[in-house]
Amino acid sequence: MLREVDPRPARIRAELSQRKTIIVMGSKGGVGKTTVAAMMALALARKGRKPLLVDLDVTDPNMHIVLGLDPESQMPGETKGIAPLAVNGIGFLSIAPYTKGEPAPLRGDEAVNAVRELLAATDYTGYDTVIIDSPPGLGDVTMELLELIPNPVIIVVTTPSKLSADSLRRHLRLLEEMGYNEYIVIYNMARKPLDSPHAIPYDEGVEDAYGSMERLAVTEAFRAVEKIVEELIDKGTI
Amino acid sequence: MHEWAIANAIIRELERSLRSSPNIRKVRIVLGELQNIDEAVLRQYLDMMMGEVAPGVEYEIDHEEAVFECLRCGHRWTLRDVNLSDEEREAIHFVPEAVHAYVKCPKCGSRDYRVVKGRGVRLVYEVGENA
Ligand SMILES: Nc1ncnc2c1ncn2[C@@H]1O[C@H](COP(=O)(O)OP(=O)(O)OP(=O)(O)O)[C@@H](O)[C@H]1O
Ligand SMILES: [Mg+2]
Ligand SMILES: [Zn+2]
Repeated sequence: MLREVDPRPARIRAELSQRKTIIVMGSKGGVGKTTVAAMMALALARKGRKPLLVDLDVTDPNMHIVLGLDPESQMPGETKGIAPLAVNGIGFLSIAPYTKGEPAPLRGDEAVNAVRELLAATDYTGYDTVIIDSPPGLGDVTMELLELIPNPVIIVVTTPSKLSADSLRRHLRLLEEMGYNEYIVIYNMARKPLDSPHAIPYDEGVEDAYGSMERLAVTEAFRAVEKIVEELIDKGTI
Repeated sequence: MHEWAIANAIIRELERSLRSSPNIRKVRIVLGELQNIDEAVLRQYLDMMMGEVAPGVEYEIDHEEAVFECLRCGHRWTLRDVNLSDEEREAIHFVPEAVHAYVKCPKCGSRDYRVVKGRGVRLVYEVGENA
Protein backbone atom coordinates (compact mmCIF):
# COMPACT_ATOMS: atom_id res chain seq x y z
CA MET A 1 0.00 0.00 0.00
CA LEU A 2 1.39 3.46 -0.89
CA ARG A 3 0.62 6.68 0.92
CA GLU A 4 1.80 10.13 -0.16
CA VAL A 5 2.51 12.80 2.43
CA ASP A 6 3.76 16.38 2.50
CA PRO A 7 6.43 16.48 5.24
CA ARG A 8 6.18 20.23 5.92
CA PRO A 9 3.12 20.47 8.22
CA ALA A 10 4.74 18.11 10.74
CA ARG A 11 7.72 20.44 11.20
CA ILE A 12 5.57 23.59 11.19
CA ARG A 13 3.34 22.18 13.95
CA ALA A 14 6.30 20.92 15.97
CA GLU A 15 7.99 24.34 15.89
CA LEU A 16 4.89 26.50 16.37
CA SER A 17 3.46 24.42 19.21
CA GLN A 18 6.50 25.49 21.27
CA ARG A 19 5.72 29.17 20.69
CA LYS A 20 2.86 31.62 20.86
CA THR A 21 1.57 32.17 17.35
CA ILE A 22 -0.58 35.17 16.53
CA ILE A 23 -2.49 35.29 13.23
CA VAL A 24 -3.45 38.82 12.23
CA MET A 25 -6.37 38.51 9.84
CA GLY A 26 -9.32 40.53 8.59
CA SER A 27 -12.22 40.15 6.23
CA LYS A 28 -11.46 43.29 4.25
CA GLY A 29 -8.44 44.64 2.43
CA GLY A 30 -6.70 47.81 3.56
CA VAL A 31 -8.03 47.84 7.12
CA GLY A 32 -4.55 47.87 8.67
CA LYS A 33 -3.62 44.20 9.19
CA THR A 34 -0.02 44.73 8.12
CA THR A 35 0.32 47.89 10.19
CA VAL A 36 -1.16 46.29 13.30
CA ALA A 37 0.98 43.14 12.90
CA ALA A 38 4.15 45.25 12.66
CA MET A 39 3.15 47.35 15.66
CA MET A 40 2.40 44.25 17.72
CA ALA A 41 5.83 42.84 16.89
CA LEU A 42 7.45 46.13 17.84
CA ALA A 43 5.51 46.33 21.10
CA LEU A 44 6.54 42.76 21.97
CA ALA A 45 10.20 43.46 21.16
CA ARG A 46 10.11 46.50 23.43
CA LYS A 47 8.79 44.28 26.23
CA GLY A 48 11.83 42.05 25.87
CA ARG A 49 10.12 39.32 23.87
CA LYS A 50 11.67 37.77 20.76
CA PRO A 51 9.05 38.20 18.02
CA LEU A 52 9.27 36.74 14.53
CA LEU A 53 7.09 38.65 12.09
CA VAL A 54 6.02 36.65 9.04
CA ASP A 55 4.46 38.22 5.96
CA LEU A 56 2.22 35.55 4.45
CA ASP A 57 0.40 37.85 2.07
CA VAL A 58 2.35 35.86 -0.51
CA THR A 59 1.07 37.48 -3.70
CA ASP A 60 1.20 41.00 -2.31
CA PRO A 61 3.93 41.19 0.31
CA ASN A 62 4.60 44.67 1.67
CA MET A 63 5.58 44.30 5.32
CA HIS A 64 9.22 44.99 4.35
CA ILE A 65 8.18 48.56 3.47
CA VAL A 66 6.76 49.08 6.96
CA LEU A 67 10.03 47.75 8.40
CA GLY A 68 12.24 49.75 6.03
CA LEU A 69 13.93 46.72 4.45
CA ASP A 70 14.97 46.47 0.83
CA PRO A 71 14.25 42.97 -0.52
CA GLU A 72 16.51 43.65 -3.52
CA SER A 73 19.62 43.82 -1.39
CA GLN A 74 18.81 42.20 1.96
CA MET A 75 18.64 38.41 1.80
CA PRO A 76 17.96 36.16 4.79
CA GLY A 77 20.85 34.01 5.94
CA GLU A 78 21.03 30.23 6.03
CA THR A 79 21.52 28.33 9.27
CA LYS A 80 19.41 25.35 10.31
CA GLY A 81 16.89 26.66 7.80
CA ILE A 82 16.25 30.19 6.63
CA ALA A 83 17.63 32.65 9.19
CA PRO A 84 15.16 35.55 9.40
CA LEU A 85 16.35 39.12 8.83
CA ALA A 86 16.39 41.25 11.97
CA VAL A 87 15.16 44.83 12.52
CA ASN A 88 14.94 46.51 15.92
CA GLY A 89 14.76 43.19 17.75
CA ILE A 90 12.15 41.78 15.36
CA GLY A 91 12.88 38.76 13.17
CA PHE A 92 11.36 39.02 9.72
CA LEU A 93 10.38 36.50 7.10
CA SER A 94 8.71 37.11 3.74
CA ILE A 95 8.53 35.86 0.18
CA ALA A 96 9.65 39.34 -0.98
CA PRO A 97 13.42 38.67 -0.96
CA TYR A 98 12.74 35.75 -3.29
CA THR A 99 10.38 37.47 -5.75
CA LYS A 100 12.29 40.77 -5.85
CA GLY A 101 9.29 42.99 -6.40
CA GLU A 102 8.15 41.09 -9.52
CA PRO A 103 4.49 40.08 -9.83
CA ALA A 104 4.14 36.42 -8.88
CA PRO A 105 0.52 35.32 -9.27
CA LEU A 106 -0.33 32.17 -7.34
CA ARG A 107 -3.51 30.16 -7.69
CA GLY A 108 -4.97 28.55 -4.56
CA ASP A 109 -2.73 25.54 -3.98
CA GLU A 110 0.41 27.39 -5.02
CA ALA A 111 -0.31 30.13 -2.46
CA VAL A 112 -0.76 27.39 0.12
CA ASN A 113 2.51 25.79 -0.99
CA ALA A 114 4.38 29.08 -0.60
CA VAL A 115 2.95 29.51 2.91
CA ARG A 116 3.97 25.98 3.90
CA GLU A 117 7.43 26.42 2.43
CA LEU A 118 8.17 29.65 4.30
CA LEU A 119 6.89 28.26 7.59
CA ALA A 120 8.64 24.91 7.20
CA ALA A 121 12.01 26.21 6.01
CA THR A 122 12.56 28.68 8.86
CA ASP A 123 15.06 28.43 11.67
CA TYR A 124 12.92 29.49 14.65
CA THR A 125 15.76 29.32 17.16
CA GLY A 126 15.61 32.23 19.59
CA TYR A 127 12.08 33.40 18.75
CA ASP A 128 9.34 33.01 21.37
CA THR A 129 6.40 34.59 19.54
CA VAL A 130 5.41 34.33 15.88
CA ILE A 131 3.20 37.05 14.39
CA ILE A 132 1.69 36.24 11.02
CA ASP A 133 0.32 38.88 8.67
CA SER A 134 -2.19 37.37 6.28
CA PRO A 135 -4.04 38.39 3.12
CA PRO A 136 -7.61 39.75 3.44
CA GLY A 137 -10.68 37.54 3.46
CA LEU A 138 -11.52 33.94 4.02
CA GLY A 139 -9.40 32.57 1.20
CA ASP A 140 -6.97 29.69 0.86
CA VAL A 141 -4.15 31.19 2.93
CA THR A 142 -6.34 32.07 5.91
CA MET A 143 -7.96 28.64 5.89
CA GLU A 144 -4.54 26.98 5.59
CA LEU A 145 -3.16 28.97 8.55
CA LEU A 146 -6.08 27.94 10.73
CA GLU A 147 -5.51 24.32 9.77
CA LEU A 148 -1.73 24.38 10.22
CA ILE A 149 -1.27 26.35 13.41
CA PRO A 150 -1.92 24.73 16.77
CA ASN A 151 -3.88 26.99 19.18
CA PRO A 152 -3.39 30.30 17.38
CA VAL A 153 -4.10 33.64 18.98
CA ILE A 154 -6.46 35.24 16.47
CA ILE A 155 -6.49 38.99 15.94
CA VAL A 156 -9.21 40.23 13.58
CA VAL A 157 -8.58 43.73 12.29
CA THR A 158 -11.50 45.77 11.00
CA THR A 159 -12.57 49.41 10.69
CA PRO A 160 -15.58 51.15 12.24
CA SER A 161 -17.57 51.24 8.98
CA LYS A 162 -20.97 49.72 8.11
CA LEU A 163 -19.49 47.74 5.25
CA SER A 164 -16.72 46.38 7.46
CA ALA A 165 -19.28 45.43 10.10
CA ASP A 166 -21.08 43.17 7.65
CA SER A 167 -17.84 41.44 6.58
CA LEU A 168 -16.78 41.16 10.20
CA ARG A 169 -20.03 39.43 11.14
CA ARG A 170 -19.46 36.73 8.50
CA HIS A 171 -15.81 36.39 9.42
CA LEU A 172 -16.51 35.91 13.13
CA ARG A 173 -19.38 33.54 12.42
CA LEU A 174 -17.03 31.31 10.46
CA LEU A 175 -14.37 31.42 13.18
CA GLU A 176 -16.96 30.43 15.78
CA GLU A 177 -18.27 27.61 13.62
CA MET A 178 -14.70 26.35 13.40
CA GLY A 179 -14.41 26.39 17.18
CA TYR A 180 -12.39 29.59 17.61
CA ASN A 181 -14.25 31.62 20.21
CA GLU A 182 -11.40 33.56 21.76
CA TYR A 183 -10.50 35.95 18.94
CA ILE A 184 -9.68 39.62 19.58
CA VAL A 185 -11.29 42.23 17.33
CA ILE A 186 -9.30 45.41 16.75
CA TYR A 187 -11.10 48.46 15.34
CA ASN A 188 -8.46 50.35 13.41
CA MET A 189 -8.57 53.88 12.00
CA ALA A 190 -11.24 55.02 14.46
CA ARG A 191 -12.05 58.68 13.79
CA LYS A 192 -14.07 59.13 16.97
CA PRO A 193 -14.02 57.39 20.36
CA LEU A 194 -15.54 53.90 20.27
CA ASP A 195 -16.83 51.87 23.17
CA SER A 196 -14.41 49.03 22.35
CA PRO A 197 -11.25 48.66 24.46
CA HIS A 198 -9.52 47.60 21.26
CA ALA A 199 -9.76 50.72 19.15
CA ILE A 200 -6.79 52.28 17.36
CA PRO A 201 -7.22 55.90 16.35
CA TYR A 202 -6.90 57.14 12.81
CA ASP A 203 -3.44 58.69 12.89
CA GLU A 204 -1.98 60.83 10.09
CA GLY A 205 1.49 60.04 11.38
CA VAL A 206 1.30 56.34 10.48
CA GLU A 207 1.81 56.79 6.75
CA ASP A 208 4.93 58.94 7.31
CA ALA A 209 6.31 56.50 9.86
CA TYR A 210 6.48 53.50 7.49
CA GLY A 211 10.08 52.51 6.99
CA SER A 212 11.24 53.45 10.47
CA MET A 213 10.43 51.56 13.65
CA GLU A 214 11.62 54.56 15.68
CA ARG A 215 9.05 56.83 14.00
CA LEU A 216 6.32 54.19 14.21
CA ALA A 217 6.96 53.83 17.96
CA VAL A 218 6.02 57.45 18.66
CA THR A 219 2.68 57.43 16.84
CA GLU A 220 -0.60 57.55 18.71
CA ALA A 221 -1.69 54.43 16.84
CA PHE A 222 1.32 52.53 18.18
CA ARG A 223 0.55 53.53 21.76
CA ALA A 224 -2.95 52.08 21.33
CA VAL A 225 -1.51 48.81 19.97
CA GLU A 226 1.01 48.71 22.79
CA LYS A 227 -1.81 48.94 25.35
CA ILE A 228 -3.61 46.02 23.70
CA VAL A 229 -0.39 43.99 23.70
CA GLU A 230 0.14 44.77 27.40
CA GLU A 231 -3.40 43.63 28.17
CA LEU A 232 -2.85 40.38 26.23
CA ILE A 233 0.43 39.73 28.03
CA ASP A 234 -1.18 40.39 31.42
CA LYS A 235 -3.98 37.96 30.63
CA GLY A 236 -1.46 35.36 29.50
CA THR A 237 -2.98 35.29 26.00
CA ILE A 238 0.37 35.97 24.36
CA MET B 1 21.90 24.89 5.50
CA HIS B 2 18.27 25.12 4.44
CA GLU B 3 18.45 21.38 3.63
CA TRP B 4 18.68 20.85 7.39
CA ALA B 5 15.11 22.18 7.81
CA ILE B 6 13.90 19.94 4.99
CA ALA B 7 15.54 16.89 6.56
CA ASN B 8 14.03 17.91 9.89
CA ALA B 9 10.55 18.14 8.31
CA ILE B 10 10.98 14.64 6.85
CA ILE B 11 12.02 13.31 10.26
CA ARG B 12 9.14 15.01 12.08
CA GLU B 13 6.69 13.61 9.54
CA LEU B 14 8.16 10.11 9.76
CA GLU B 15 7.93 10.27 13.54
CA ARG B 16 4.27 11.29 13.28
CA SER B 17 3.34 8.60 10.77
CA LEU B 18 5.18 5.89 12.67
CA ARG B 19 2.92 6.55 15.65
CA SER B 20 -0.17 5.55 13.66
CA SER B 21 1.52 3.05 11.28
CA PRO B 22 4.38 1.42 13.18
CA ASN B 23 4.91 -1.02 10.33
CA ILE B 24 6.25 1.54 7.85
CA ARG B 25 9.42 -0.06 6.48
CA LYS B 26 10.35 2.12 3.63
CA VAL B 27 9.93 5.72 2.61
CA ARG B 28 10.52 7.09 -0.84
CA ILE B 29 11.55 10.74 -0.85
CA VAL B 30 10.67 12.41 -4.11
CA LEU B 31 12.66 15.56 -4.86
CA GLY B 32 11.15 17.90 -7.41
CA GLU B 33 13.59 19.37 -9.88
CA LEU B 34 12.26 22.89 -9.36
CA GLN B 35 13.41 23.12 -5.74
CA ASN B 36 16.89 21.85 -6.63
CA ILE B 37 17.68 20.29 -3.28
CA ASP B 38 21.25 19.19 -2.66
CA GLU B 39 20.78 15.43 -2.42
CA ALA B 40 24.18 14.73 -0.86
CA VAL B 41 23.61 17.28 1.91
CA LEU B 42 20.07 16.03 2.51
CA ARG B 43 21.35 12.44 2.78
CA GLN B 44 24.00 13.54 5.24
CA TYR B 45 21.39 15.11 7.56
CA LEU B 46 18.94 12.23 7.14
CA ASP B 47 21.63 9.68 7.99
CA MET B 48 22.42 11.69 11.12
CA MET B 49 18.78 11.93 12.27
CA MET B 50 17.00 8.78 11.02
CA GLY B 51 18.55 6.15 13.29
CA GLU B 52 17.16 7.65 16.46
CA VAL B 53 13.61 8.39 15.31
CA ALA B 54 12.99 5.69 12.75
CA PRO B 55 15.38 2.80 13.27
CA GLY B 56 14.89 0.09 10.68
CA VAL B 57 13.15 2.38 8.20
CA GLU B 58 14.92 2.58 4.87
CA TYR B 59 14.73 5.54 2.59
CA GLU B 60 15.39 6.04 -1.08
CA ILE B 61 15.55 9.25 -3.02
CA ASP B 62 13.95 9.78 -6.41
CA HIS B 63 13.95 12.79 -8.67
CA GLU B 64 11.03 14.20 -10.60
CA GLU B 65 11.33 16.48 -13.60
CA ALA B 66 9.57 19.86 -13.27
CA VAL B 67 6.76 20.40 -15.78
CA PHE B 68 4.79 23.62 -16.18
CA GLU B 69 1.41 24.17 -17.83
CA CYS B 70 0.13 27.55 -18.93
CA LEU B 71 -3.33 28.38 -17.62
CA ARG B 72 -3.85 30.83 -20.51
CA CYS B 73 -2.80 28.89 -23.61
CA GLY B 74 -2.30 25.34 -22.33
CA HIS B 75 1.35 25.12 -23.44
CA ARG B 76 3.56 22.73 -21.45
CA TRP B 77 7.27 23.21 -20.85
CA THR B 78 10.20 22.21 -18.62
CA LEU B 79 13.17 23.98 -17.04
CA ARG B 80 15.22 23.17 -20.14
CA ASP B 81 13.10 25.64 -22.09
CA VAL B 82 13.93 28.62 -19.86
CA ASN B 83 16.99 30.58 -18.73
CA LEU B 84 17.52 31.35 -15.08
CA SER B 85 20.42 33.15 -13.43
CA ASP B 86 22.14 31.59 -10.41
CA GLU B 87 20.48 34.15 -8.18
CA GLU B 88 17.03 33.32 -9.55
CA ARG B 89 17.72 29.60 -9.21
CA GLU B 90 18.69 30.22 -5.57
CA ALA B 91 15.46 32.15 -4.84
CA ILE B 92 13.41 29.31 -6.36
CA HIS B 93 15.37 26.82 -4.25
CA PHE B 94 14.07 28.53 -1.11
CA VAL B 95 10.50 29.15 -2.29
CA PRO B 96 9.66 27.30 -5.52
CA GLU B 97 6.64 29.58 -6.12
CA ALA B 98 9.13 32.41 -6.74
CA VAL B 99 9.41 30.85 -10.21
CA HIS B 100 6.42 33.00 -11.20
CA ALA B 101 8.60 36.08 -10.67
CA TYR B 102 11.20 34.96 -13.23
CA VAL B 103 9.59 32.56 -15.71
CA LYS B 104 6.82 33.31 -18.17
CA CYS B 105 5.06 30.90 -20.52
CA PRO B 106 7.51 30.50 -23.45
CA LYS B 107 4.60 30.54 -25.88
CA CYS B 108 2.30 33.35 -24.73
CA GLY B 109 4.27 35.20 -22.05
CA SER B 110 1.82 34.52 -19.21
CA ARG B 111 2.84 34.25 -15.57
CA ASP B 112 -0.42 32.44 -14.87
CA TYR B 113 0.64 28.81 -15.08
CA ARG B 114 0.82 25.85 -12.79
CA VAL B 115 3.57 23.49 -11.77
CA VAL B 116 2.19 20.15 -12.92
CA LYS B 117 4.90 18.12 -11.19
CA GLY B 118 8.42 18.25 -9.86
CA ARG B 119 7.86 21.14 -7.45
CA GLY B 120 9.28 20.18 -4.06
CA VAL B 121 9.59 17.34 -1.57
CA ARG B 122 7.05 14.65 -0.93
CA LEU B 123 7.15 11.34 0.86
CA VAL B 124 5.70 8.08 -0.33
CA TYR B 125 5.31 5.45 2.36
CA GLU B 126 5.18 1.79 1.69
CA VAL B 127 2.97 0.52 4.48
CA GLY B 128 3.09 -3.22 5.20
CA GLU B 129 0.23 -5.51 4.08
CA ASN B 130 -1.31 -5.79 7.53
CA ALA B 131 -1.40 -2.04 8.09
N1 LIG C 1 -4.24 53.71 12.48
C1 LIG C 1 -4.09 54.23 11.27
N2 LIG C 1 -4.22 55.56 11.07
C2 LIG C 1 -4.12 56.09 9.82
N3 LIG C 1 -3.88 55.36 8.72
C3 LIG C 1 -3.76 54.04 8.86
C4 LIG C 1 -3.84 53.40 10.12
N4 LIG C 1 -3.66 52.06 9.93
C5 LIG C 1 -3.48 51.88 8.62
N5 LIG C 1 -3.54 53.08 7.96
C6 LIG C 1 -3.46 53.30 6.50
O1 LIG C 1 -4.17 52.29 5.84
C7 LIG C 1 -3.42 51.77 4.77
C8 LIG C 1 -3.58 50.26 4.72
O2 LIG C 1 -2.91 49.68 5.83
P1 LIG C 1 -2.33 48.21 5.79
O3 LIG C 1 -1.54 48.02 4.57
O4 LIG C 1 -1.72 47.96 7.10
O5 LIG C 1 -3.70 47.41 5.65
P2 LIG C 1 -3.88 45.86 5.30
O6 LIG C 1 -5.14 45.44 5.94
O7 LIG C 1 -2.66 45.11 5.64
O8 LIG C 1 -4.05 45.90 3.72
P3 LIG C 1 -4.08 44.63 2.71
O9 LIG C 1 -5.45 44.07 2.83
O10 LIG C 1 -3.82 45.24 1.38
O11 LIG C 1 -3.02 43.70 3.16
C9 LIG C 1 -1.99 52.20 4.98
O12 LIG C 1 -1.41 52.61 3.79
C10 LIG C 1 -2.07 53.34 5.97
O13 LIG C 1 -1.87 54.56 5.32
MG1 LIG D 1 -1.52 43.81 4.40
ZN1 LIG E 1 0.83 30.39 -22.37
